[in-house]
Amino acid sequence: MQTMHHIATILGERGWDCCPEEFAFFWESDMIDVTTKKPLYVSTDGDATPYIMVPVQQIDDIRALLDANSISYWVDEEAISVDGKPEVTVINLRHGVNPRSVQQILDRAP
Amino acid sequence: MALADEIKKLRDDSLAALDEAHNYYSHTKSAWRLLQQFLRQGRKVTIRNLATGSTVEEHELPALAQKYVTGYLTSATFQHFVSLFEDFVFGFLRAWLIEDPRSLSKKQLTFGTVLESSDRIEIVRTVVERELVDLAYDRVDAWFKYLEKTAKLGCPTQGQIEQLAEIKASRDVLVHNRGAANAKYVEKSKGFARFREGETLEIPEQYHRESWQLIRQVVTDIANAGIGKLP
Repeated sequence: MQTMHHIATILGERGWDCCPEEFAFFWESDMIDVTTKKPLYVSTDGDATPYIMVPVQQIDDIRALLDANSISYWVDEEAISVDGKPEVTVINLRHGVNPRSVQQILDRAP
Repeated sequence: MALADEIKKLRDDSLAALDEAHNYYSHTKSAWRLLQQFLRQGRKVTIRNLATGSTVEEHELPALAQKYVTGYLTSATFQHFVSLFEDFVFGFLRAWLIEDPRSLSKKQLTFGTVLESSDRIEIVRTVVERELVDLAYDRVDAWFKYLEKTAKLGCPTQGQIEQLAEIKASRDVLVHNRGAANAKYVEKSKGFARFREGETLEIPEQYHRESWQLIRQVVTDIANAGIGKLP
């Protein structure tokens, strides 16, 4: 919260009129992996099918988001837990889906 | 071995092989997914292929893992499911026709073939084998027309036959056309075609599993129907 106050002050000095709560909204707009606290991202290395590694507990939310945006995908039918940590699965994007568009959808999700 | 026992063994062996193949797929995929998770934790890995001389490091592995899982592994196991299915269908027909070859009574043989055979059963096997080799090159719906004419089982359903035709057509595209759907694929698949000519064939996981399930179901239905007809 202190950091957000400080940043809000700096933005206020530059003519951006916002309160910490509004700034918190901007700060938290990326869809976050609830287990790692890092933003979810679309992996696009090489010529492989782009994919998103997702905690199983968030899979329904992400599927709803992709469905709402008419994104074609399939979900791995295994969920893997390592060292007792939450299970993780993988969403695979179908041919023709633009991974950048999907990343933007994740980044803008509330 | 009595025909009913032979069909039971064929069914059980085929189902066991299908299950093993799906486990191989699932476990191998999981191993690659585990590696992807480990690499996200910042582990360092180098893999050197002594046969090709190539070396890959941790930053290259996640993409390779994804390619292998969604490409090679899925395609190879899918093809194996189809291969197991073909083995079952032709194993069933072989056993059935050897037991009762009367439908082949008008087939012709050279006398040389008869002289080379040690007994009647070997002659029957030779004729049956030739019949099935010809049938194997025909379309999937022709296989089942022949099966129905021969054994009169009343299964699989027309819908199942058409789905199997699309599965076999997909397999043929992967093996013979580098994964690009062609006019033959579209024509053989009819209403079940998943791709248009020129599109790259995909094997998403749900389709991979549903194909395996359908094959498993049809193997069970054909075998049980056949056993049910025998004394």
